[in-house]
Amino acid sequence: MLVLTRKINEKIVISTDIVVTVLSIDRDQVKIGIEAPRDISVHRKEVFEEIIKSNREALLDIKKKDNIISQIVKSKSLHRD
Amino acid sequence: MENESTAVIGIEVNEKDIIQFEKGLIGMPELKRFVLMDFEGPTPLHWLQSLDNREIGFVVSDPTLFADEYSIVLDKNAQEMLEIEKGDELVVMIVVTVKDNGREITGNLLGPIVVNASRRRGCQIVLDGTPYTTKEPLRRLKKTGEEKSNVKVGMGV
Repeated sequence: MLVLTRKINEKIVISTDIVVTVLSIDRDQVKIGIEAPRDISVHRKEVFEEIIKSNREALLDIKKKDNIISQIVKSKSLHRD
Repeated sequence: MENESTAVIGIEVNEKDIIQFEKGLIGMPELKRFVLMDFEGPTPLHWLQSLDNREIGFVVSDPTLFADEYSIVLDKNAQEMLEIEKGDELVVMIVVTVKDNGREITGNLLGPIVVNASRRRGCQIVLDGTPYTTKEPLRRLKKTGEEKSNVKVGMGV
């Protein structure tokens, strides 16, 4: 990991066109601004990891497909009141 | 790749049915090609079959099974990946997780799949900063006609 120390309003450039700016520092929180090209997505890491984990849990072997569907259909929660 | 039909579990799939996920799914960037398949009978559930790994797929659902109103915003990144143009038809699908033999069924409202049906492009987006979770429970459908929820798709700037 590259470690840099920055003060408020100082910036970091990643590659040539991703710019990270320290906007404010408040006790234990830092507000960070990110400018990046449109094809690059930026997210809080823990949210990203939560979705990766969820995708892995949701992934099904095709052999289980029909079985799973009958389980869901039978599930009481799907029946209307 | 020349025009071809792909045999998937004994069913032929035409090129025109294939949905391209340029960046794959989150955490699974290698899964770039999918086809959406129906189950028998009326159901808001579909099967998203991977064509990159024929052994696997996902159960996906209309958001109505998990929320009666669902509001998402597509950032510029997603708009580009979906090649959105005016008049395109967008479909939002929720990845469903089934555990414990069907006793635990949850939906990922935090990371929905969005498909541009007009251009056969798809992506999974992250609704960072919203209260949605990856483990939303099934909700009871109160009345018939609730098979499709009220889904709002906003375009971020």
